[in-house]
Amino acid sequence: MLSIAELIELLNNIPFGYKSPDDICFSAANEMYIPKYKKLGVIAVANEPQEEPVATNPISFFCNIPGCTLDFEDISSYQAHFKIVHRFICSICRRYLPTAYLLELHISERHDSYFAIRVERGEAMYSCFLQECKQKMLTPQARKEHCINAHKFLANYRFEQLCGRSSKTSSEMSEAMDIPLDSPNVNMELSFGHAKGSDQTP
Amino acid sequence: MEVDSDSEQATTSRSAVNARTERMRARNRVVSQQYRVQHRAKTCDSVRVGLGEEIENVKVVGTDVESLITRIKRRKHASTDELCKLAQAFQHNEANIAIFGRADGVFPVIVKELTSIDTGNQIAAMECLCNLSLGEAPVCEKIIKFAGSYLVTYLDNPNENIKRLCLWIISNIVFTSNEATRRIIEMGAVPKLWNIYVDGECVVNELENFAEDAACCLQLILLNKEQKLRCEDLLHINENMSKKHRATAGAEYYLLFIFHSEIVNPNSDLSTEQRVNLLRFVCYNLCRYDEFESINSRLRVLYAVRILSNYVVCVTDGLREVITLLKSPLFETTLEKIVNKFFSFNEHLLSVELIFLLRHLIHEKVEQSLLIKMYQLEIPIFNYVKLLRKS
Ligand SMILES: [Zn+2]
Ligand SMILES: [Zn+2]
Ligand SMILES: [Zn+2]
Repeated sequence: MLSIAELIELLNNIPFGYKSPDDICFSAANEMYIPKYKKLGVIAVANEPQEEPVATNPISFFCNIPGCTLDFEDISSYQAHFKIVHRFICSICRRYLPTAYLLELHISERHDSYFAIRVERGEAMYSCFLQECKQKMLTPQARKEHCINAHKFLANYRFEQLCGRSSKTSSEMSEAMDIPLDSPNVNMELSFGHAKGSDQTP
Repeated sequence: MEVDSDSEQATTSRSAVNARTERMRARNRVVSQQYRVQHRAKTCDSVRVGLGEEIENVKVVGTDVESLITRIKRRKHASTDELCKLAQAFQHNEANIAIFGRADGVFPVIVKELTSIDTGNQIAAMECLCNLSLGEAPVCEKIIKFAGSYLVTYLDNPNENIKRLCLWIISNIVFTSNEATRRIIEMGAVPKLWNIYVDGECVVNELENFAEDAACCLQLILLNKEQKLRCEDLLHINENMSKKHRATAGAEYYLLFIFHSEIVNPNSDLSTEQRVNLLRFVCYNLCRYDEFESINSRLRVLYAVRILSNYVVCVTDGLREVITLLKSPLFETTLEKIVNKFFSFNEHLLSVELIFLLRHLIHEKVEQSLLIKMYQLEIPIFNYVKLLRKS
């Protein structure tokens, strides 16, 4: 064991004060004790046929989205519920958005007349597409520029076209998107359209 | 475990939670089987696997990646089946990733499927990107360029498969490329990752796995010395630091995050609530871990020591706070006992860090220091002078 005198002598040779995480005195221990990361991909593995009976069991399908407690008798009613309730469809124009936040933006910017009045009054009303960013802009164009400059978003960020004042007619919108025929709900009016020419590599 | 249909009403008890987890697993299996049937894909459960590794029961079908690229570019659409074939080809061989990475105009097709309304196709496109992210930096940078804003957006997606794949892709990418790390930070990923990490409302169930996946991303980002977080990221972590509970999934990374984001620094102005929470976390880690073998213990112990060392020099009366808390019925111990416990692990690099800590615990006028009883310390003999010089 180290004696008190030895300890004091040792301590006298060590500087006192805050140590930044980048200090090289931590390098060796970091190397030794922090687990190494290994890159992993994902492969879908075929199920053994005996797993099929799962479907014949009377399992009820409950929805595991936080805050939702509904149960369903079969997979298709669960899927229908999920699509309707959790895919964030606008109740006014039936457009899908991928998150609750973007749906909120869509509804106020597209369908809220009070929002429109405040925009006309010159208030900065257009919220950033990132929920955590609290900036508000005067126009959709300014927001687009903000997202490109501040957050390096794609110039043709698809969900942008579902917010802000519609500058395109709906026929242009539906022309711009080509939903594969085998996808569900093709009969509904959908608009994950992307601007023309967006398929070109920039 | 048998699932009693009457148990559905009881959602609060522990067994109901387990039943719920079981049913969730069963449901996920059925959902993915359903996709498989619908899309005639031969696949189902997702298994994580490294580049080129073989897995049992999976036969690698030789896929001509170049002709597949030509086909999907011409149609401006890729089916679930085609996306799955691509994903498999990428995992199988890095050359396939390189071919895809060099091809022009094919990323937008994947991105289009990523933003389609067909969940099965979205997931297959995500799996494609996940396996592409096994590639080198240029491919990872291309993924960020074309899909980065969607990856960040989908961190809030309610579909757990999509959300999880987002986290896996981000961790692969930030591990591979500095440039991609810089861009993902700029895109605002860190506050979202932090929110996922601290979301501990759920008891132990599959949802909590998100916390570990998010922890993995945050760890890689925070340990990257080249890429610094933005001020707003640090502010977000600071404001939301007390939300993480010390016994939830991924909590062993918590003090690492606090340390590497320099939440405790000479100018930090932590609220009383923040200080109390942080110290409880630190003391919990100091007291509850009696070994230094598992990754869990190592991270908890090492970072509790590091945070404590900075805490006592940055916070006025910090040392007294710590000693009082350790003496309380919550822990009923002393700093001397804890330091001795860690010295007894006989780990030379940990011991050096304990010496750094002692430097901050024992002040200039040693004889007058009443807070730490030096005669109680049992410090193993290592060549500290040499170790210190090396570090
Ligand atoms: Zn639901
Ligand atoms: Zn609408
Ligand atoms: Zn913003």
